[in-house]
Amino acid sequence: MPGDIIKFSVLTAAIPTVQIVGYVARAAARSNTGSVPIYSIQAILILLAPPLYAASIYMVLGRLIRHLHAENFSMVPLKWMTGVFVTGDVIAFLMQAAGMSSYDLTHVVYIAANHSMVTKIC
Amino acid sequence: MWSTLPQITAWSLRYAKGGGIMASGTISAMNTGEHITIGGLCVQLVFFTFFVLTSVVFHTRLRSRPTQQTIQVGQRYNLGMIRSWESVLWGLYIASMLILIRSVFRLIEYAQGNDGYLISHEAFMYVFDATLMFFAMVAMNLFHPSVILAPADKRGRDSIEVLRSLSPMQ
Repeated sequence: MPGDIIKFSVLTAAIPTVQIVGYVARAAARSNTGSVPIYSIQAILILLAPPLYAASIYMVLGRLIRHLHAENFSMVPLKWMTGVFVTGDVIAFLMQAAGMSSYDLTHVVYIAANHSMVTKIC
Repeated sequence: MWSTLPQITAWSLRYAKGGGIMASGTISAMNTGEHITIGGLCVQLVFFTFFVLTSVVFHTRLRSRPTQQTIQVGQRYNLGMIRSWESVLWGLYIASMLILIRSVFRLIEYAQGNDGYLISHEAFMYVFDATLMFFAMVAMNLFHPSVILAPADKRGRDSIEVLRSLSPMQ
């Protein structure tokens, strides 16, 4: 399918971009320790890269099986393949993002609060 | 926003004194968040392991009983290890292993908790997340699946052959 190579190229170009923006935000967070948006951007974007890699890897296996006409060699039926793995991937990502945002944001507030305490004391 | 400030101050005062951490609602939210993250990483590990298993089973089955198509693809792209249907799978394995190692690292990081060794030392993140993901990208490009993704009439080698046949020099 002609669309596949484009889809794959867009994915593989998007992943490093997402990561670079994430690490740039992380670098920016160094001098903006109190900024929640900068903090969230770096946390989410760095977190997003592996599930995106995983999605493109799932896609490649599906296309490989189809390309080789080897559907009956696959443990998971080809028509379910993308659905099953991408669903797992999305659930895993959302859980990590949800967990991290409540975990890390409280952590940031926690540090910021203590930091302000320290500066008040000193 | 401002109404929470006295609360945070009071709470951090208690923290500074070294007590009352467990009683705080924010800390319990932090623990819940930690558990959800760990759960998410476990889901990722389970699905990913299952995926790698699916790939390996497919690979071994196909290797023991090659199809017409695998032989054809092998002959048409006899460019060595780097471009064949099997090289695509090697690329998948390498990238998968790197992602798996990263997920295990994150799992340990969060399991150690807020004051754990891994989470409080930033260098680990750059080694076990940033670097591993970088090499996953390198692997995907080295073993690029263009062989199986490009439409048949637009594959690089074929178009070179078409150009050669059209060229008056030949």
